[in-house]
Amino acid sequence: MNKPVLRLYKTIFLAQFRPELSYFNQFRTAASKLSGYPQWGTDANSVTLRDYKTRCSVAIATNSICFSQDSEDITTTSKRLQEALEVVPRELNVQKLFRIGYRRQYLASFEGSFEDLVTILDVKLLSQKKELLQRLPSIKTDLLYRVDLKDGQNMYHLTIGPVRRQEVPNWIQFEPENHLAPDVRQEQYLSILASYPEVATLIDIDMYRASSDIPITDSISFVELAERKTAELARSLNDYLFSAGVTTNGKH
Amino acid sequence: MVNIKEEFRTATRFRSQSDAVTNDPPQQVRVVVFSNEEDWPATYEARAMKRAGTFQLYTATKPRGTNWSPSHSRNMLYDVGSFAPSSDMSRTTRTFHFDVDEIQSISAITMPALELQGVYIPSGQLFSAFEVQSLPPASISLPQRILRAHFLTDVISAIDNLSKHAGNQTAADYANAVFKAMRVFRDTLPQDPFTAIIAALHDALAYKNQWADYAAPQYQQARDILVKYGNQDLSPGKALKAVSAIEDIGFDTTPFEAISEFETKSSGSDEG
Repeated sequence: MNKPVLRLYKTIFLAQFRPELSYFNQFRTAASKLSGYPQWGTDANSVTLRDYKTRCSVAIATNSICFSQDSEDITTTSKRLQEALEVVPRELNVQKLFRIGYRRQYLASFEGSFEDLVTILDVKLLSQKKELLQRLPSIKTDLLYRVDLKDGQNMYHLTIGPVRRQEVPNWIQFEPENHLAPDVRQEQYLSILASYPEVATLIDIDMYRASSDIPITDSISFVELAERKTAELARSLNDYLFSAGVTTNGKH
Repeated sequence: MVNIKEEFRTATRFRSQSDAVTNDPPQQVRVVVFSNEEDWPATYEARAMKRAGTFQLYTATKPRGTNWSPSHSRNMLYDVGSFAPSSDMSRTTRTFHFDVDEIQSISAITMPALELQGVYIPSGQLFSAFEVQSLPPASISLPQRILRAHFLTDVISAIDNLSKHAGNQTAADYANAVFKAMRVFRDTLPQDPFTAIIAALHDALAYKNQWADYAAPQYQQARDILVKYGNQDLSPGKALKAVSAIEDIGFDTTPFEAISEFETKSSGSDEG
């Protein structure tokens, strides 16, 4: 049995700002200046740009810019996000954000049984105090590890848990409307659902800043930092959870 | 996949039957192992631990048995044999006969791919410990290795702290942490062959507070042995090799005095 391999399944970026009336004259113009999105859809208040090939999309709404990608192609994510953050806020005349967030969802496929994975995550993440355990029914069948963390001005929602294949869509929401071409949408979506690991560990890291006056000029540097921090944290957690060796200095 | 919880339960059940201890001198040890399985394995492994006194080999009479052979340690005997049709066989039981004088305890009988259901130890036999377990697979599963590494890290960290304070008044606190980490390991992974190594070192340190007598270099050597064997797939035989290595650096892994007292009385009466 191999050590679980971490794979990125989804990236979501969301910048939120106060709506301005001028938005309604500008949002479609802003969208038209982004390249690489052959498909689009719009209504009175929003526009969504789609690229089925790279499975990514940008949604511009009255109070937010959202980018999402259903793949592990981090090069495309970086490039597309940088372009969106350079073009759209300028066209919409957005100066300040009140929230900016970058979220990555990983699965580490596990070759053993779901019960074994629950046992490992239980030992690694939850309290093993006898005083607690003796108050609980003896067998844990499932678990969820969820903490909010802070590192300077960066805050995190961290979620870790074991998932079966059929549970993955509850946690990682693939966007077939935005990321799959209509003529093959149903077939490909079913294929994607079937391709999820039978048993896996979900590592979901949402890094964000929330303040009334986040300068829009900080957004690109925030994304670069978040890309690095989320990747490092996910890799480090995967190593901690599934290390099967002890080194001479007593560390995993 | 190994069902860890099931193994824990099995081990606990056997452990509760391991207290058949008498002061009668052993003449022949008869162990009846019974199972609800119809397909018994063709081979078995038996380990006997000599608790005190001088090591000496004695014939063990078993179906198609062989003599006890010295294995990896001056205090342990190790034997591998096979079953043969005999009157001792039935669909649900197998009987081992061990003609022994010096063997003071049978530490384990292991059989591959068998869910052992219980052990009958006749009265009048001397056992200071008895444990039956299914033979683990040659290569243990990743979940087991992950859990072993997790709990072993705590043991090693505690030994490192004890090593730094060896010989000082503060060492007692750190010794307590070592014992606590070892007990967690033993209670959590009773089916892991590595537990035998942890238990052996625990006995060496715990008995009469002998942790206070060992020096820092010995602790460092012991932790290096734990790391070395902790990163390997272990058979019970290999675990014995590790225990032997711990003994070779000066740890007495079989320090208990109860047997010595018995031997003293026994030899005294012989002389008289």
